[in-house]
Amino acid sequence: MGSRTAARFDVERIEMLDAEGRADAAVGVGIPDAGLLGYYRRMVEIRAFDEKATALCRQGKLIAYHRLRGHEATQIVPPTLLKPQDWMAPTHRGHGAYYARGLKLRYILLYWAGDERGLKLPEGSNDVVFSFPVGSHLTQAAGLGLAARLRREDTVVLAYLGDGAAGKGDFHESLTLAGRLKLPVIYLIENHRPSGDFPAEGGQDWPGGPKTLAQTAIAYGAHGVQVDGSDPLAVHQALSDAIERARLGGGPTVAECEVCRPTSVVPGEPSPADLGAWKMKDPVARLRRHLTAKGLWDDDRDMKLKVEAETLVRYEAEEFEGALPPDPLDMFSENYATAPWHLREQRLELEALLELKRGRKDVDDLPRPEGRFP
Amino acid sequence: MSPLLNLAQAVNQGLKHAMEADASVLVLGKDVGRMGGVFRVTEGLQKTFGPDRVVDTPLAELGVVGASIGLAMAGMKPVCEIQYDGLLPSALEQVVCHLGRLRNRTRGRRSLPMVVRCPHGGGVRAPELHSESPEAYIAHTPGIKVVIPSTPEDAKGLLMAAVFDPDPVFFFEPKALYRSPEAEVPSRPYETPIGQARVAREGTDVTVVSWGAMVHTALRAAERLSAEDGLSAEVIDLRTLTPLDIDALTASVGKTGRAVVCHEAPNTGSWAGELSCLIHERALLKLRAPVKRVGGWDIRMPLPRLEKYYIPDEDRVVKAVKDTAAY
Repeated sequence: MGSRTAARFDVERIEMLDAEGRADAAVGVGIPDAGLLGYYRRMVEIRAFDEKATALCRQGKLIAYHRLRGHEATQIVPPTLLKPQDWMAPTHRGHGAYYARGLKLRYILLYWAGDERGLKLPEGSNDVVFSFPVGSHLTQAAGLGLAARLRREDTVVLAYLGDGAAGKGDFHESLTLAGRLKLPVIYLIENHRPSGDFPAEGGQDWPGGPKTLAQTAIAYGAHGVQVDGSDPLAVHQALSDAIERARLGGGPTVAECEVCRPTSVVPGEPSPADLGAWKMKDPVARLRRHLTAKGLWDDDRDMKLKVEAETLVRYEAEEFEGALPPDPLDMFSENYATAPWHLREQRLELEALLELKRGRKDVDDLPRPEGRFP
Repeated sequence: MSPLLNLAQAVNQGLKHAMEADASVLVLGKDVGRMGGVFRVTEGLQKTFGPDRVVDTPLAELGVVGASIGLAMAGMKPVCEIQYDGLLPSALEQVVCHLGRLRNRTRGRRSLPMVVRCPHGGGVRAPELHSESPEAYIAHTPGIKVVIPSTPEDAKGLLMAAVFDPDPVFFFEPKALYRSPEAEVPSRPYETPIGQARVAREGTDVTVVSWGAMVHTALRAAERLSAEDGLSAEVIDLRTLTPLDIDALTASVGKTGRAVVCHEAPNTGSWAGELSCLIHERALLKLRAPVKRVGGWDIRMPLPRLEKYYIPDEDRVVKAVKDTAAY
């Protein structure tokens, strides 16, 4: 009898821009100039925000901050492709994605200062508030996709994850559901390479593992594609395809987007080890070269945009720093539709404690508590 | 006279009423659809409502509970099933990190009007991890309501109340009671209030607090105590573990002055411990004896050959009540 091939798979890689910022003439790019300029503006803005947030964190004004320099294309381009009714489920590094969908930057700073009020997404937003257990939003994303399918809507779900979460059970159980039930979910893996040397192919520093993360899709009957995540045009192409596939009932896609995340501790500067790689893989610089090559951009405009972005970010930071601290009683709002007796009792206890502290001038004037209680 | 149903049939009927009343209610889990559930609780529902409302899922508990949270975020009312209590730990991350938190994390923008159904307890000669009583893990997690019926009538009413509750509800179903006893269950739709205990048997000497299958053990113990020892035990069926009916507890203990809490879970860190603490805090001066807990030993539930020496039986409950009365 012998053996024969039971199944064979290929994983495609999408790249559009070359080192000089030119797009392959043979491949239609299909993005109107206004769209490209819009991407660039947002990417410059979120980069300026990233610098500011890093500085604020260093000053101790934020409890933590996860940098997204290098992620500008994967953060700004895909959410822009979504329709308002589509869902988005970012990670803890999703500041750019939330911004692209309309969240004011001050709220991101507020959250990272340790203030719950920063999680207040805009009214009507179909974004999932991110949470800390890595990857735990992915099964929820499958559920959102299932709701769309059961209700015969053409809504899609864009779920972000990092290369770390790609190993977690949540990802795999989510794909089990999304693959078998053919759900409209797009899994965007932001696979960041260690800075400096790029391994020629394959994963991180492990002795073994898969050649690509995109091929995870194959095991679940989903479509898998690898993308140069620092190439905004490639990201646009791959994610547009994935979104359309999902919308038309073609099932889930795993889009592995490789990004370079330079490790420098100095704002604005990659470390010497990262410098070479960064020149090739800085998404903002790559798009700028492309726009310039097309005659749509020049140094004067770039300087003007830089100033505008920094002004915007400075304004948002001022709004954040000027916000009054939250009222501790906020903690008791919005835990149940109607709080049970034990929460009512406990809240009264806290109220009494605050009175005591106010009497001793241990606590500043507080705004009114937010949210419903009971 | 209303028809006689067992607990599984009562839950089935409650699900049917709920799905008829509200098109956003759906059932999901492994084997719930075509097979009708391993305990037959969802039997016939897929035939009536179709595969888009009774959804068979792959074996992926974490996935199913997580997906249910997604469905609820999207505005549906999912009733998901954990096939066996032993599979609950796989889903605990979604329960602990999201189920009770989402309303608060989203500042009230989103809520989770969903139900997680899970079999509960032992006494059915089941393999390892199929006879567990994990209620304390859930009741300890803020933001989740926990209910457990002990009669078919309450099973239907609590299930309907759980489905239409705006908050997430964990619905424990005592396996030992799935098939029997049968009891009259009203045919019409109705809700049994969540947060309200039931006096299963009135008495004057000792309050015996319990839930789930243990309620029946407590009732049999009460019969024996009355016949053999002249003791009058009042049996309280909590029905809701949280939010607790604290008034029912303190009223009963105020009357009897003595309390015994009976349950199947290991005593240490159990819900019985919390109840004992609350009774002491709020009714100390009415008590004539410390509150006793009759629960599982602090060891793993043994395999079926020895389970009757693990799960508190009438003998243990009777002894606890007599000791409390003689304190």
